[in-house]
Amino acid sequence: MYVHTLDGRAPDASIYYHTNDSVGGAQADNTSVYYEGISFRGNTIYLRNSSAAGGMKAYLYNCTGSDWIIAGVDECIFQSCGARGGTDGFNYDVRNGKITNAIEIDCENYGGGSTSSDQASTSHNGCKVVRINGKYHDFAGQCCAEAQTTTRAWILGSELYNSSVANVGYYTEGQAWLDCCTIHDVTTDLAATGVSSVINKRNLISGGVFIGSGTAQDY
Amino acid sequence: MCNRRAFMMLMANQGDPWQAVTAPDAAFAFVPFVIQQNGRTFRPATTFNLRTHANITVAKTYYVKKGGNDGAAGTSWATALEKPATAWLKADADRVIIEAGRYYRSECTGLVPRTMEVIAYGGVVEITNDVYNNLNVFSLVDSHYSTTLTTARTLSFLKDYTNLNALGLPNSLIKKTSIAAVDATANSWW
Repeated sequence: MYVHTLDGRAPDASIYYHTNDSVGGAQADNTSVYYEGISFRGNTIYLRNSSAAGGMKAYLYNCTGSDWIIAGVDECIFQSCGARGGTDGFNYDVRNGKITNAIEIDCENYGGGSTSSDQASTSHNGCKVVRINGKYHDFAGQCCAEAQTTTRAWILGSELYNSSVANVGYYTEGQAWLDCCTIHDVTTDLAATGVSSVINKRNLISGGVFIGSGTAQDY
Repeated sequence: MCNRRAFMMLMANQGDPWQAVTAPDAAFAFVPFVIQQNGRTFRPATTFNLRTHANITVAKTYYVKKGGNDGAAGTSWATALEKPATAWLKADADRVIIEAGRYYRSECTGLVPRTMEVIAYGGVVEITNDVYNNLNVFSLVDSHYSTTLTTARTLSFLKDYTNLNALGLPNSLIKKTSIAAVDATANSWW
């Protein structure tokens, strides 16, 4: 390995030499894991089931990481957690036929992604996600995004801003409810793709720019 | 009396700025607590506690500390283990308490396989895939430093925690494809 530091100093412990291995995490069925005060540093952190038996539950308090992949988790709750850097922040998906039901409480994800599909928090394939008092900002992709028509999101009191490549605050292909959210410093505040996609909103503070073939409506 | 109690509760509730929110869709029936709203701010009802909700029964706790010994029992700080993974891969581990500090890839390999609490003690615990502890001594060669790994691993990226971006996050060193390119470029590696 060859290293040339910014200031010419000898490489030391203040440099982290990351491999391409995943970092910590849990994989099992009919299992509950609870993490507190852990900073995962490196590549992907997996929280996922092992088989179609499912039954995986994951609870995280005051934890941070870079690329969280949460797949096939019956109940996942992040409280006072965050994603820093990486590609996607929190990425929820199906695994072994099981969706993920996720809740984020007082989380802050920022400073990640390099493409328009790298989001601070994102769900897929029919997963359900509730975001409470979150801050999602300074990602390349949309600040938050849900993919596929069956995905559902309920976002309360959250702030979404600075999406450097996608320049979109919130994006969905499914259905979403935004309550008292604030979106700023993006070109497009809301985007809904697909005729069945709907963004239901109330008390939204934003620039009011909506794009897409779906619907944005007050509720 | 009952009516009086109900009236008093109603009045007390009216004075509480935190009011329960109704889920907008049946899809969110999985939420295990009442969500309350006060203006533009929301929270779980104060009765909700995440660790309690996780409902993990703990019969066996293992301890991990810097300078611990993986050959020890691990059931107290005095006999603490060295590696977090040694603890969470124990067949009877229900709780793993880890002393604050940075733990390297060689100490953290392996996914948690069973119901368990993993808790930091005394500060932040860093679970990393960092191989700093597997590096031989660096040697200065021209404008760069050179070393080898004691165990063959594929490096993915390097981050310099003395070089932070505007968000306070460490910048990555730029990956080059030749020694000459590293030599010519500060903040790079190969």
